[in-house]
This record gives sequence, structure tokens and C-alpha cells, in this order.
Amino acid sequence: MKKIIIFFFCCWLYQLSFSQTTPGSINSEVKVKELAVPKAPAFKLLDISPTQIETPNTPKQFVLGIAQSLNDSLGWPRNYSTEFSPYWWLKSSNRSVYDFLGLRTKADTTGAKKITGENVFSGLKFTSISLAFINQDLIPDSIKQSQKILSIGINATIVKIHSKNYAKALASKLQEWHDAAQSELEFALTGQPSDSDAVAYKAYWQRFTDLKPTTTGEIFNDINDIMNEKPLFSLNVSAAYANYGINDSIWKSGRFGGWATVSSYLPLNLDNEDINKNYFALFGYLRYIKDNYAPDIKGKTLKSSCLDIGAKLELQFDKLCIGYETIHRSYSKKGIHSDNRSVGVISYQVGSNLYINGAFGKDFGITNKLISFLGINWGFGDEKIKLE
Amino acid sequence: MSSYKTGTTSPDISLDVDVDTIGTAASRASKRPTGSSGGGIAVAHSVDATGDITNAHLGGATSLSGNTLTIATSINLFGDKDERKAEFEKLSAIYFLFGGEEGAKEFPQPDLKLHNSDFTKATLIKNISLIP
Repeated sequence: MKKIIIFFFCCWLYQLSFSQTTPGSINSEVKVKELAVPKAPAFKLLDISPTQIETPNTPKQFVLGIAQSLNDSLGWPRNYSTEFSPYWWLKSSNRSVYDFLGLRTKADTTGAKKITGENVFSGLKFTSISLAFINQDLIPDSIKQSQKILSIGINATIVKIHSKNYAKALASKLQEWHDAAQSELEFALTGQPSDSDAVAYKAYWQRFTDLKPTTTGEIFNDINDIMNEKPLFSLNVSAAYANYGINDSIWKSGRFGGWATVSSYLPLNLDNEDINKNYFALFGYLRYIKDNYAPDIKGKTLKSSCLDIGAKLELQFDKLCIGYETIHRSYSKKGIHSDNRSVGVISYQVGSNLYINGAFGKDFGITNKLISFLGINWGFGDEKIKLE
Repeated sequence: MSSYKTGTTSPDISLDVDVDTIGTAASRASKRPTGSSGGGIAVAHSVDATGDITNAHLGGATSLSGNTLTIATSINLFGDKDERKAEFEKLSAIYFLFGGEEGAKEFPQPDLKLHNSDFTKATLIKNISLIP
């Protein structure tokens, strides 16, 4: 109990430290939404995430995840993950805001890009790679000893389809932003000093850059909100591999898996909001795992593959997310009974970049093992974007 | 400062600006007598949020020579601060003038590449002296 209190106290302190924003700033309050944690495939392969069925999102440049079970004997978290998307670092050709937002365009007679719809495969460019380091007893034998586990994973959104209004609303806002920015530039160009004094000239344009005009700033925030809307349908695939440290010198292949998640977000439209932030979400889940340490009924381990089929229901509000997931697991080897996992999950955004995840219910296992899990997650830096 | 020879008789000098960013961008070009301050006459602008200017007719050599062409691009960047900073480092612009005595000439980078304190906004400035 003491550890739980300390944990929440630390979260509260963290929230205080990052909750202050600069008055009048355009974008300092732009935050990430629904970054479920720890959700890296490298974590999920090992069945120690609070929820196995993942919610699609746009991977960040770099995210650090920390997970801690409530019943761990050690007070400090021992499970860590990182997830990053190379897209943010690589420079591809023909980059534009339309490509970034996943919009298909066609040039009209004036050469202007007109949005013709959504590129449903645009999520592929945000394919992410994850690494995890875990201290957990994942070998289901009679010896209660944690293993050091290194895991690597990959995650990609194959298809993502928003409502028809998504592309239309973005097209309108992008043009609105462009026209407002033209007015700002016209004003700035009219007032620019002579470029014969390089220092004064640079200082003039630096002042222009430092200005945070409300018009383009507000429109830009609207664009952020629209692109944060959840898709009506998405298909997400992941794969991961884990290596188990049996002792300090012996490492063995532990588990490999690949899985697919289909999801559908139905807007709740509370308060007739223009931009949807509340959803009823449905998920379907299929996973194949090759496990070198599968539990048999005699309390021993053997090599086996297994197939997971599951579903999840979720209610997502602005900062709060409540859900229930159930997964049925069947093994290929005779001698291992099929198994079920039924878990209630809750996630709450405590601060601008701090999330608490909880999961409570029955996990896979020979006995009726209960899950009691808390996880925190944050990205480096004090701001996040609204991206899904 | 970069320069471009317009000549004296070229009737149709044009500008291309290719902005490379995943942020929202808008570009505008104006001309004013070289060395002067303030004023300026708009001669071209982007038409969408790529910030690109494509084959914009600026005028003939007689109306352009002796002026400085200023091309300003305003950009808003997505992402958290680290991502915006990374994108600021990556973003670039290439400028092309063609139709003058010097033919097609490429100007591979802006003179000024500025950002605000939290990297939410960036500005690119390119000045090109148009000489006869």
C-alpha cells in the first residue's frame, strides 16, 4: 500500500511540474492523446502489458515506457521499453504537409494541390520499432526466479480509414491556414528594413518568427484536433521476438509472435462537439506465438505454438479510458490446455505527457493467476502532439 | 547576397520555390528597389499549404532589374518539441529563377532560417538581387 501511495505521489508531483503553460502560446498545450502504455510490441509479446489488444496510434519520435506490477517485491520498476519511429528522423523526397497528414491530392489548373481524399495507407510511414528490457519470471516452471529478457518488436498501421468529413475538414483548414499566413507575410514584407544592415534585418525576421499570431495559431490547433480524430476502421500488425537470459551467461530464444488488430471507433458526439474526442471502440485480435517455454499441465515447459483470438470493448473519453478485453488461447501441442485471459483496463492521462495504466483480472496461466498492474509512460520533452 | 542577371530585354522571368517540410507552409515573394527599406510589391505567392511557388511570372527584365526579390516562407511545425526541432533541422527550400539573361539558375538554400523558442514556427528568407 505504501508503494502505491508513493507511486501516485510521484505522479502528482510530475503532473505539477509539467502542467504550467505559457499564456498566449500557440502550441505549447498541444498534447498527445491516448498513448496507451506500455504498449510497445516488445512488451506485448511477453503478456505483461496491461492490455494485450492495442489501440492504434501514431508512434512518437521516442517514447519511454515503464511498467510495474503492484505485487512485485521490489519497489522500483524493473520493466522498461522504448518505442521510436524512424519517420521523424529520416528525410524522404517530396515531403509535404498533405503527405504527412495522409491526404491524397491532385493539382488543379493553377497548380494548387486539391485534396481528393484520404490515403488509407498513410499510417505505414509511421512504422515503429520497440525494444524492451524486462525482469520477470516468464518460464512457467516450479522455480520462482526472474529472468532478464531482451525483446525487440515492430509495429505498423496497414490501413486507416476516417470518416468522409476528415479529408474535407482538413482541406478547408489547411487552405484557411495558408490564406491567413499569406496575410501575415504580406504585412511582414511591407515593413521589412533594408537588408544592407544584416544584423537589423535578421532581428526583424526573428521578431516576426517569435510572434504568435492568434489566427494561424488557432487554425493550426484546429488542424491538430482534426488529425487526432480516431479512424472508423484500422488494421494494425505487429511482430516481436524475445530472448531469455536463463542466467548471467546463457541466453536462449524465448518467444516469437506476430499479431493483427482491427479496430473501429464510433464517435459518441457528446455535447455536439465539432471534433470527436469521445468514442466507443471495438477491437478484434488475432495472434500467433511460437513459445519455447509454454506451460504444460504437469508443471513443466515445452515448445509449442499458440493462437490467440480476442476482442475488446472500450469507452474513450478525453483523458479517461475504460475497457474490457477477453482472449482465448489454444496451443498446438497436446498436453497443454487452452486458456483464457479476461481483463478490465483503465487508463488516465494525469499530466500533459504522463499516463497511468491499470489492468485487473485473470491472466493466462495454469492457475487462476490474477493481474494487478500499474504502468506509467512518458515521452522525453514536456509536450506531445495530437496524433493518432 | 545572391544575384540573378535579368538582362534588359527578357520579357518573362519566372520563379519556382520548392519548400521541403511536413509542416504547414506559405510563401510570398515581393520586389523592392535594392537597398531600400519598407514597401515592396508582391510578385508571387504560394497557393496551398506546401508553400511551393510554381512557375510564377514575375515580370519582364525592365520592371525587375535594379530590384531585390525577397521570398519569405512561414512554417508551422507539428510534433513535440524534439520532433519539431528535428524537423526544423531537416526542412529546406530551393529557389529557381529562369527566363532572364542568366537562364535557369538555382539557389539551393535560404539566407535566413529562423525558429521561435519552442520550434512551433519557422521562417525562411531568401534575397536575390536582380541585376541588368
